[in-house]
This record gives sequence, C-alpha cells and structure tokens, in this order.
Amino acid sequence: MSIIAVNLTHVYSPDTPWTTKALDQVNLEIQDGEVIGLIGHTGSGKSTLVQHFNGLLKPTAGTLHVQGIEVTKGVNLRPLRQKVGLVFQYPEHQLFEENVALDVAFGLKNIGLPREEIQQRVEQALSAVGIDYQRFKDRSPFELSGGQMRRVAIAGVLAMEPEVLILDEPTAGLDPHTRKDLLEHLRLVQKERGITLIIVSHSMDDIAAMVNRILVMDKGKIAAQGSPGEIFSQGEKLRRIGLDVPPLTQLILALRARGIDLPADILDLEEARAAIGRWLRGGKGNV
Amino acid sequence: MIQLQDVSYSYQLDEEQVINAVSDISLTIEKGEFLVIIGHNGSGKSTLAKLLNGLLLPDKGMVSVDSMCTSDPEKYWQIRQQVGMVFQNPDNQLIATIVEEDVAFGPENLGVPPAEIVSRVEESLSQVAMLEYRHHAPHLLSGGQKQRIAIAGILAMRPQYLVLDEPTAMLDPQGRREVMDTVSRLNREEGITVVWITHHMEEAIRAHRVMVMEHGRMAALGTPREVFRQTELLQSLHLDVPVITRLGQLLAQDGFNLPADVLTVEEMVNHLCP
Repeated sequence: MSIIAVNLTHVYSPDTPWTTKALDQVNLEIQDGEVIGLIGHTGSGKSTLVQHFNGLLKPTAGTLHVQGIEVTKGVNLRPLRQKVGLVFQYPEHQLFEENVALDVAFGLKNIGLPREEIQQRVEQALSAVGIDYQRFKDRSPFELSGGQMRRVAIAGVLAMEPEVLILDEPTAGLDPHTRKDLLEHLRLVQKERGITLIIVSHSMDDIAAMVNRILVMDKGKIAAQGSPGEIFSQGEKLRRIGLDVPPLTQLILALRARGIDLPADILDLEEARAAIGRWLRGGKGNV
Repeated sequence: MIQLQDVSYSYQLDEEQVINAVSDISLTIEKGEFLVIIGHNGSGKSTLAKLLNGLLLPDKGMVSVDSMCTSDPEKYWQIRQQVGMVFQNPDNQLIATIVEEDVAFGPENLGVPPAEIVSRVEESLSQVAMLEYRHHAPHLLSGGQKQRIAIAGILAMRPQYLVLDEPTAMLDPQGRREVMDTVSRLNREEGITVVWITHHMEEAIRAHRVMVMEHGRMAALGTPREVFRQTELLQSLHLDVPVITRLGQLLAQDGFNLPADVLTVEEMVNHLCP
C-alpha cells in the first residue's frame, strides 16, 4: 500500500485569528502503481494534502503513512523524500544551474551517487520527458521554451527515481499540444517504472484519459472519488463545488436531461461520437 | 482603432541567431471589437501584444493607436494610457498592500487629482465586482480576484483598449470564468475594445474575430465559426478545435446532417433535439 491517511487534519496558523482548517479528517488509501487524479478548486486543500505526502507539512491530527513511513513531526525526511518526488507548480522557476545536465543532476549529487550513475540517470530522466540528452545537455535551461523548461524541471525529480511521483498542475500554462505530449510521457514513465503517480489538477479534461481514479477535494475533504466515468457523470455536483464540467460532459448531461438515453460516463470524443451516432440511427430519425 | 501595417519584430539571440517573432502582420482592430489571438507557445502572440501599446517598437512597418504612431516619442504616454495591458501572472502586477491603493497607482502616476482618483478607484473596482474588497490585502485574494484587481488598476486609467496576454493561464476554472465574464461585460457594456490572447480554444468562442498565429505570421483570421471550420489547418498547427465543434464535424462525417461550425453546447443540443 502506497499511501494511507486516517482522519488526516491540517490546521494553518492554529490559535490565531487567521486559523484555517485546510484538511478536515481526510481518509484515503492509494495502492502501489495507481494513477490518481486529484482535483479541486483553489483552496480546496489539494496542495496541502500532497505536501503531507513528502513531509513538507505534518498532520495536525490523524495519521499518514507513505511507503511504510509514518509522517509525523519527528519523521526522518531523507528516506521519505527519496521515495516521494514532488513537482511543484511552475517547477521551471526553480531551475538554476548553468546547463540542463547539471540541473537534472543536482539532487543526485546531493545524495552522493557515483558519477557514472548520475550521468546514466540524467540521460534516462531527460529521455523519459522527451528531451534529447545530447542536444540539450550543455544548453542553459533559461534559453529553453516554457514547455522544455517544465520538462527539464520534472526530469530533475524523475532522476531521483521516486516510488511515488506527485505533480502539482504539471500542464498549467502549456499549449494543448505540449500538454498532451507531456502527459503521454508521464504515463509511459509510470508504466515502465510501475510507480504511483498522483496528478493534481483543476482540469479534468486533461487527466481523465490517463488516471485510474479521481479524488475530488472540496473544503478540505474528499467530496467524491471513483473512476473518471463515475466522477464525470456527477456533473451537477462538480459544478456546485466550483469545478469545471468539460463541454462534452455538459452536452451529454444536457441531452440526458431531455430524456435521451445516453451513458452518463462518456469521457472522450470518440465515445460521444459513437453513442450519439447509435442514438441518431436507432429510431431518432434524421437530424 | 489600432492599425498594424506590415509589422515585423525580431529578437537577436546572439550574433548569429535571430528569431523572427512577428513577421509582416497587417491587421485593423476596430473600436468595440473583441479579438482573440490564438497560437501555441512561441507563435509570437505575446510579442504582438507588446507591439500594440509600444512596449516594443516594430523593426519594420507601423503600429498606430487612434492615428497615433507607437514610435512617436511624444505620444508615448498617451498610447500607454489608451492601451492597457494585463499579463498572465497576477502576482507580478500587483504592487500595493491594499487593493484600493493598487488600483489608484495608475491614475496617481497620470497626475489625476485626488478627488477624482477616489471616484475612479470606486468605479473601476465595481466594474470588476471587487468593490467590497477595497480594503483587503491583494496577496490574500484568489487568483481570479487578483487578476480582476489588476484589470481594475488598468481601468482606472480609462483606457479605450484592453490587451490581455493569457490572463487565465494561471487561474482555476472558477477564476477563469470570473475573469472572462468580467472582460466580456466590459466589452459589451462599456464598449472597451478587447484583445484577448489565449491557447484555450473554448475562450475564443465568444470573440467577434479570431486570429491564429504561427511562426510570427497570421495563419487565419475570421469569425470563430469561419476559423474553427478549418479543422485541418488548426490541427496542422497543433491547435485544438473546440471539442463540441469537432464532435459536430465527426458526426457529419458519419453521415449525419450537422454543420461544421457548431460552437457551443446549447447549439449542439438544439441541432440534435430541434
């Protein structure tokens, strides 16, 4: 079992006028090798939750176990951080080395790996995110495009070979093509290495195709969880908690509201095309 | 009216490498228009935005705002006041510790008398529905709220034109809706001309015209319907057609009678259940 939270609660600035309960008795289990989409609007607690997973934050109450390590005030952070890689929003803001290879190697040097292994891991990590090592290793990270910088920053975390990889809004600000490509690379890495992958997002559209399970957060609690199809079919609920319902889902829900018998859990264009086509052919007559 | 005549702009990376960010663009942005510019990262859209108010000056060609040329140093401030810019990251655009002070910053610099500043601040904050937050600290607001404060700061300078460079890229869906609705209303009700830069196709649906950029050039220009009908062109540029439009096109391929330019969920429902 990868992650187990029992009544996990986190309070910011306790005993002050600004006290906020960011996590409110969260219970969840994430299995090894699962691909999880964690969605929720700003302030729903999703970033607070994932910051517990690598020990950046500690529970105010309740318990959390990650890869067999209990996250508490006294936890030894080193083994935890090696097992759990957390990629923040806009990770490219944290690039700082003079060239791409050095930037990706930074964490590896810190844990004292031999030079050959560092070189090998840097190559693998860059290729895993779709960056050609030979072409890019000597380039300054600051000359790269936004999408390339994002990939290099993610490679820096991948190179540490975490068992759990968490990405907070990995596609924010990227164009649709770059977005798709980056997510495909992440999906492949997950498959090859069998790691647990957690993607934090407020865009369900992006992640629906690649995750096994979606957790929806609202007001510090898990408001819903299930397969992408199960979550998408609850359009009204999602809208109520301030989440975007993707246009295709809106369409399916609107057609169902008109009494048309379509499955509620349609995720993508081809499914919608097939289902609407079947309905149009079967008895509906010509549009 | 903002006019661009054969405008080109290039960045010199080093002695050998030159990037032609904008090449030979001619375009007239009419008063009261809502123009959306789409293109993927690096297509030149941000450079074009900065050319509109003279933050950058063209290497070739000419940009004029209400017949004032952006390269005329005497018109410099007047143009900046007329063409307000809003950028992607709201945190980089807010400077004061109290919302109303932030909004007052622009008019103060323009030398507007204090009594008028007060009324402009109030007016601008109500235009973006943030008046009740006037005494709040900007850093404690949500992304969408911050971005609306940034817009209010621009409105307080009474611009005719609002240029927004990916203003929703860092916002969550709710914040994105807030900002889109605010700007749409400013365009519709206050007649402010809007240039909205994005790579979210769904945001382009509400435009009067959509311009597609690729490698610094204009790849397409027209109403959303005219542009989104050109699926092959958009896909060759790695841009998505809005998913509802695409669904209509696929169903048409399957032999159903649907137009190639359905834009919204409502339109699609009406086509399917007339």
